[in-house]
Amino acid sequence: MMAGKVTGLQQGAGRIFVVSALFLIAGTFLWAIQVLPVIWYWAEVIILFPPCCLSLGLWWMARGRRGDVPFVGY
Amino acid sequence: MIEALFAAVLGGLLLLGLHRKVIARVQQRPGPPVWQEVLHTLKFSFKSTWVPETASPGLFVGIVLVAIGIWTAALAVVLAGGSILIIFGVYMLHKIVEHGFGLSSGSPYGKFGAVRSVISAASEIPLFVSVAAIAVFTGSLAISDIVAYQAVNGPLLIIAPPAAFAMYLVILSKMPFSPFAIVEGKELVSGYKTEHFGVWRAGLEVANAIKTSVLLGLFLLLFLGPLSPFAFVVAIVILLVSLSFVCAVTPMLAPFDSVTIQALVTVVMLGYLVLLGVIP
Repeated sequence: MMAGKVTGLQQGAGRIFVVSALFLIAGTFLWAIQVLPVIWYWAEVIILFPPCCLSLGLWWMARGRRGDVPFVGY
Repeated sequence: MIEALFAAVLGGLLLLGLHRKVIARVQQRPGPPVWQEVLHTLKFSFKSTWVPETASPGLFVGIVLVAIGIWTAALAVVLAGGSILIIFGVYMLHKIVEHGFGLSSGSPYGKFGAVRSVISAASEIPLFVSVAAIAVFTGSLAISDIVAYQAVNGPLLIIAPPAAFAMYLVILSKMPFSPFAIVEGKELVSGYKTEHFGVWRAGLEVANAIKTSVLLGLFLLLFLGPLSPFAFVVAIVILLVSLSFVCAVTPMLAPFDSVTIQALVTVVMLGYLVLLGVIP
């Protein structure tokens, strides 16, 4: 984990990552032992993979920083 | 299944890196290393990230999740041998996603990129008549049936080359630096993705990687049929290098010209369907 103060946003992202990753691992295991039908397994992956991806990055480096105004030209 | 998803992400990023490398070598530049897109994605993942003040926060973040989700679904359909209509449904959803990216940012560049996305969609939809040509020969829209047909009758690339050309053009329009990539024109900075940076851009890179793997893999399945894993990898690299050559030697077209050329190809494809007897 990065050095420095851990923000609330990072903590929230970390929780989402852990929960989604655990569900993905559990789903893969249940599908492998043929308990979970493949269609439900793919539905789980489609729903959970995107938040798992983003929350990992946010947990790593998210700052509790205010947004700025986009560049709108000269 | 999850390993196929990771392979699609990593493979897609490497293919996009190879795409940049080939373009650079054709233009007599050294170019970035092939794994540059992997490094890009990792770099963006570790960048400081926030939402611009002018953005719509829910849509700004949610659209990245949707982008990854729809192409994951497309990969699932390809692996399951499902209907190509679902894949092209996802392809059209991607247009809405590009539109959402641009509109959610609050940046004029993003909005112009979004508008161009809609303009290009108007010309790409009719290219799906290539699907009709495939259905005429194979009698099915299921990828598994189409692959099985080619195992018996030979590749559709030889049986129906105009359909292959039309789909090649559809894929070309989705490649970075292509003559039809008007949504990412440099005059728009980075088009619809101008304001998506840091983790949001990393998510977009993941979605683009899966999209590249799915579209190139789908082309091989639809027009070359069953291939061994080694032949599949070789064929996907050859396909990508051919696309890169086109991108390297062709300047980006103006939006009007891009739409006109794609519309002309659509007309040619409709003529081909008339010849096949699909349209009386």
